Amino acid sequence: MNDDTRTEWHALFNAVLNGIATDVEQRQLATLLKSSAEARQLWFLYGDNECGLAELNAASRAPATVVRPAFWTARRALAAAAALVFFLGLSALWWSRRGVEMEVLRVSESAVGRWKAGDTMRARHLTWVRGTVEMRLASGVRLKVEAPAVLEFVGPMELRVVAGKVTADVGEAGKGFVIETPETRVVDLGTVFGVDASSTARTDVVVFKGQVELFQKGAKERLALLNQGEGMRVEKNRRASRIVSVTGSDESGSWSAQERPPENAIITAVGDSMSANDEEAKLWPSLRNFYRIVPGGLGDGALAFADAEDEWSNVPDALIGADQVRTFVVDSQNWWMKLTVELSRPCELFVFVDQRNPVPHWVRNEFTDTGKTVTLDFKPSQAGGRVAKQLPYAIWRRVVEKPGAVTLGAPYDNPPADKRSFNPNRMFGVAAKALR
Amino acid sequence: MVPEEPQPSPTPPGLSPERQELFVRELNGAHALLLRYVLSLVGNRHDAEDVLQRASVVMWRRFGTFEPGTDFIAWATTVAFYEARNFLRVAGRARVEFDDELLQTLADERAQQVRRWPARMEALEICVEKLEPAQRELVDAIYTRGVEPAEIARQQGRAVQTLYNKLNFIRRALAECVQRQMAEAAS
Repeated sequence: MNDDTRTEWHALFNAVLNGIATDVEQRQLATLLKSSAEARQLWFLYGDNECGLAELNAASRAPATVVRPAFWTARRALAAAAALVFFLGLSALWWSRRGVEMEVLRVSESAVGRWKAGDTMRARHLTWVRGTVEMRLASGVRLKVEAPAVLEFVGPMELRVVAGKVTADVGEAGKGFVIETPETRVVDLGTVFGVDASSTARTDVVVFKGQVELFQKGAKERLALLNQGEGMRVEKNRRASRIVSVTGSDESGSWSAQERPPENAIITAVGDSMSANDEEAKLWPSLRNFYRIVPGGLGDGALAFADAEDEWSNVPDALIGADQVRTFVVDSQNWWMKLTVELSRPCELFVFVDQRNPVPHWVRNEFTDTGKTVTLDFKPSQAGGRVAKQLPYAIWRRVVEKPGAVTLGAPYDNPPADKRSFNPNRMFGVAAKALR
Repeated sequence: MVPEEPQPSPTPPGLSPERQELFVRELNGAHALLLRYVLSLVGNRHDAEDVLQRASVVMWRRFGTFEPGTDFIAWATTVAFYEARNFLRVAGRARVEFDDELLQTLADERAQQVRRWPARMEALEICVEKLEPAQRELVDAIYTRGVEPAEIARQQGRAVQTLYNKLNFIRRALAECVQRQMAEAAS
């Protein structure tokens, strides 16, 4: 190869890498690479350097606390087998100059890695194996992501979740934020919502506050408009179904709509008669409502329902820290429902009943009135977050000797013949505490 | 030879936490290599990133078919090869005109050769140190800060071709430097 030939090759490779190669030059490149093994080796070297320059500079510029690009870790791994330990921690797959700016807000202890709160970085693709990372994007959207996570930040307002569980708090500035998973596309309308794509077979979408639009992947027509306290599961075969219960404490911010409950939970599952029969379910707007199980969650200020802002107050000391079920308000007019609570161990089971209305027969027959009350701070949406009324709820107790399912009834015994004779109450509350 | 294209599974099997961890570990370890492999086939780093992202999703979904203990890189390059070929087949997207025969040749040779990338990376690091400060600044602007050459040209009041000429000179200098470094290391 003489110097002229060498110069031609370099010029051709550069034209392609600069993205300005003409059609003629593109054909020349193909011809050259077909005919010359030496040219192919130089082409490969150009490719290596192109990637290497981006990685090298990213590494040299990155603050010490920020995740290094993949090549950095790979090189150290090659140098020392012990570096494998690093891979079990948090690490960035790669950096892209087209990435999204973000700030790390919190890293769980189990996400052992190189991130810490306060780090800022720019990334497009992130993957980690264990633990939870909270971050804030430049758009103001706050994300909490539980591993194993495989994420692509398409832009400041769009996240692609290949795997992982994401809770998004978009705030006012983040309206329109989109999360896409292998099964769904979720468009936020100003809300706090969760997307769980940790299973390769399905995606769970739940709304904790506000409203989202849910689409099946690739579909133009909306599958559902989900409101607070509603959720849907979309499976790989495109079957969509209601999520009946969601477990998780507010403090940790973690949640799960999967079947496996936390180990310490007394209430492990909640179901109702509206999820079993599709025809029946179609008759009711509660089709998409979920029950929220909050282990240890009962106390003053605890939200009473999954789909409203009402809170419990004046909770007796003996009940503080009990497992809580947040039922949903739309069921309050329902007189035929059956609600089933799965209990993991012997416990005291409590129901809170609106004192203004007749006590349902199933409560009278199976529970004992403790004589105590808990207060429902009624905060209708039109009250703008203020307490409009304080409603006393009677606390009824039942001892459950063995683990298993307990069936509860409806807030009303019969269809009200005269609706005016009933106060438009809220749904009853449910709590459980382990027997000492 | 590139193996036959893996067929998509209509319902990917669920992955245990251990398998998920294995996937992340394997992909993380192989990412730099895979990006170089794909770039050789599509001719542009950003296109290569997009292709590799799509390939990563396919790998995730098919990871249940990967046998632990076997060669992950061989498995992953096969997936990446078909994603690159699909990318090139969509008219208007590709910046190179590689037919299937050339693509196969490049893939076969690159699959073996690319495993030596860490040594080249070490050499590149040495060679970058030898660049003039202004050259390093240009590399930093384009490769790290993501500034387009046209924007740099505008800021400096120069023709964009002047920037491309500088960049071309740097790329060639680095390629020749790395070749020398590799030859010295081998002797």
